[in-house]
Amino acid sequence: MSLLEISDLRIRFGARPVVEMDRLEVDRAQVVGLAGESGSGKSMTTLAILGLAGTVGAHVEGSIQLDGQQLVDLPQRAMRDIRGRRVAIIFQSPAMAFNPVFRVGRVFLQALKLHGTQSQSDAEERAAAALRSVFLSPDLLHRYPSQLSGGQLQRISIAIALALRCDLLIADEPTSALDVTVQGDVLELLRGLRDQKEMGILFISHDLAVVAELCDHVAIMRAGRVVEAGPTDRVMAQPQDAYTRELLAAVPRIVVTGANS
Amino acid sequence: MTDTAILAPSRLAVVRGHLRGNPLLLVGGIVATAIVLIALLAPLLAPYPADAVSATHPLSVLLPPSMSHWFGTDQVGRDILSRVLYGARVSPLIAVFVILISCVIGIPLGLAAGYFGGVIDEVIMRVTDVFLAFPALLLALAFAAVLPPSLTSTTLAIAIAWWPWYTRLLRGQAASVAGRPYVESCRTLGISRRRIIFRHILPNAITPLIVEISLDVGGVILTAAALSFLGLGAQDPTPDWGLMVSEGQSYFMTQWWLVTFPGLAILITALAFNLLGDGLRDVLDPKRVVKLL
Amino acid sequence: MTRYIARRIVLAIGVVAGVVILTFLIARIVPGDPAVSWAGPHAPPSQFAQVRRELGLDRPMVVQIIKYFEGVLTGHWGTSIHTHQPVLSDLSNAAPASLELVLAALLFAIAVGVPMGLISAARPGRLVDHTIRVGSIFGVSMPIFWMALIFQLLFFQKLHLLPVTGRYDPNVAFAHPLHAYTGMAVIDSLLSGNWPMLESSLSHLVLPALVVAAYPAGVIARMVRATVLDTLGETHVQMVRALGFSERTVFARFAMKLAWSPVAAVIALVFAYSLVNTFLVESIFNWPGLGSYAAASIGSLDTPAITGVTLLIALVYVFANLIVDVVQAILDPRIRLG
Repeated sequence: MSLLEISDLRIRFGARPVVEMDRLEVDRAQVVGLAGESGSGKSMTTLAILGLAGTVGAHVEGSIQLDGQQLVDLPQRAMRDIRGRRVAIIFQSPAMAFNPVFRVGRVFLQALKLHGTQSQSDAEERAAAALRSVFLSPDLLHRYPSQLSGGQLQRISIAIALALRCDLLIADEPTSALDVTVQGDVLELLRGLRDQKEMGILFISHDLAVVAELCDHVAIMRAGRVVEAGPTDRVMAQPQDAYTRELLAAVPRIVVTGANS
Repeated sequence: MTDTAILAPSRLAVVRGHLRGNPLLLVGGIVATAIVLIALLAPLLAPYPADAVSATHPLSVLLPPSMSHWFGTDQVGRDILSRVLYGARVSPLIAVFVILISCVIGIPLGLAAGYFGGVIDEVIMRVTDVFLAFPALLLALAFAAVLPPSLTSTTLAIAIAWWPWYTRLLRGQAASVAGRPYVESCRTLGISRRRIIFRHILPNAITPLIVEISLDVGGVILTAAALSFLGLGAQDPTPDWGLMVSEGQSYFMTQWWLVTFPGLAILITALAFNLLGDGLRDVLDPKRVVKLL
Repeated sequence: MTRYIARRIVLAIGVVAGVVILTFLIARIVPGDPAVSWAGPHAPPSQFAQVRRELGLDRPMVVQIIKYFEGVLTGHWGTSIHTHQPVLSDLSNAAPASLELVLAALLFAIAVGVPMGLISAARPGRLVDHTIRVGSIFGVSMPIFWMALIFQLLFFQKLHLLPVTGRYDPNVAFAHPLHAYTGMAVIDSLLSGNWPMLESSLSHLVLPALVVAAYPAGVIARMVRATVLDTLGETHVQMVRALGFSERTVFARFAMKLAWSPVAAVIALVFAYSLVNTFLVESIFNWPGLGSYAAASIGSLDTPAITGVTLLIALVYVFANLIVDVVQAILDPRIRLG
């Protein structure tokens, strides 16, 4: 049984369908990429997994199972136990993901205490340890989001997921807003989460190059549907679907000319 | 099955969707239109049109509301209903002229400040800031108080208080467009300044300007009514609502109809245009926070 | 932080200078000869030249402006034509009454506006939201001089519930004289434990304060609703939801803190606007504050007094905005660090 199993997922706004996903699976110690253009329904899927589709007015039907537990239509109280304890999310725009009037550590520590850490000092220790694992100094917790760079904030988001010891991490375009140099660091950290912590990671991106680098499996989304899925190597080398081929063709390749080869 | 699972809704459906989700806009629009119609058709609707001009009836003073005088009569015997209906001509007219004058002054200044930047921008914006340092009603009051009381003075006085808002708005628009790279390329290509302003800046600025104007009408009407109430606006026998409330004050405790109906007219008019303005803002420029007066 | 405040103060001083000049110019555009209106309609023409010299009207414009500045800074704001007292002393006598009225009104407005705005934002699109939105637009569209009269009619005449003239019952004041600490009857009664006066002044304060509160309540409710709705849609709110916090906690702990910011932003504005609105209601309630003074000055074409009131309120507005800027910088780190 996979960590995350999505089948027959249907998400709509009123009468308008936005996602029609037949199947998607993520296992522990595995990174599954969900690739596709903007508007293909990737972010809606992540909201549905977290049970937050209602906050944007969308309606969800179908099956989303976390270790066998059905998440669709789960009452909010039970869903709140899942959020932050079993499933975590990191957002595309790290600067927007943190409340600007609070110090970064405040939300971090409150989240830890919400999910079981008893004392303030325990929480501080766990947060500090998590920050060290992402190669950041623990005193960054005392800064305001406006004082930190995008890369730092993104790493703090990863640290939160680490400290909360989640099983599943949803990474919604985590590197899209970062410089290329910083991207590499974040990807490396995600790899560490997969290998050392055995987290399952659902990696959302429109950037196929990044997907190819990090993901074990990939599912290509288009207009709310999964048009192709499989091991990354196979999909990249032998795309079955026409749309996949289009996407791949659009990825710029650096061709080394004779003078340097 | 079609290519895309999601189809973009048609323009008309969007508008209808807005109207359905925005009953306030609908109500505001209907009432505002009704008021404009009343203003235009006042001579036909009013039972005693002469009362709105100079007629007085010393034998029918202070009559309570009845079948022949729905709103009663005032202290010189004039039919209040007719005067209220004719009053619908006064307020919106003031609003139109105020906004016109404010735009004529404010828009060129704002464009100049935003487009040219530098010293011109500084000077214009500092002057604008000084005018904006006064609450609008206060500035209008101060000017109206030192001018001979009349409709014209009121209009001028309110316009003097209002133009800075448009300057600020247009400056923001002009500055944001002027800073864009494609404007740079226009300049290097030798396209004249005037073309840039008229072809690129103004069209973008139209929508926020419309929103601003629609949000302003209600405020101007209230300001004009306040000035009239203090005796600074139209004089007797003009059927100005604020003036009617002021004139009816001394009789008010026993002859409540003198004050109630004109004041109600002010309230409904301001309400209608404010609803309309709010609704338009929701539709055209939803990001914008409420306009403060 | 200090640099931010210093910058704001310098800007404010510049605006104040401009305000003084503009007020001077307003006073000077009075058609007709100010010397004539000062001397009175029965004075012989020979006096005009003397009055003109006294008032400094024969000097060039620039000199007049400098003299005016001097006067403003040293507290010589001219003499009122209708009270024959120095304008500044008239203003300081009238100010506490209006201050009391406006403060009470703002208290009402915040107590009503903030919760209404929050409720509206918590249930957007529902009936309660629409009702509150209409209510706030009502408040903003209300001609308050009319509201004052209607309230008088309803609560005093018809229902005999509340008094409508003056700040307190003069009989009570006679029997229990009030020591004036601040000039604000309610506070003074509290401070001196004068319960009969407290009751009298409170009951007289209610109606005028409610009337003046209508506009700011509407503004505050709309601002709070807009800001909270904006905030609730932002990513950082989704993030704390995703971390498992309940919607109530999300709203109360994380979103509400940002609700005070629009109130702060708007408080200077509604304070100054309410001060001006007193011009329209104080005479109706016989409330002896700046509003009555201003209305009387307008009625008697008392230019020095009109100028004085205008200048005072504009200065208050600039000052209030300055304070709000500083407070906002304290509340929102982005402003002082950005």
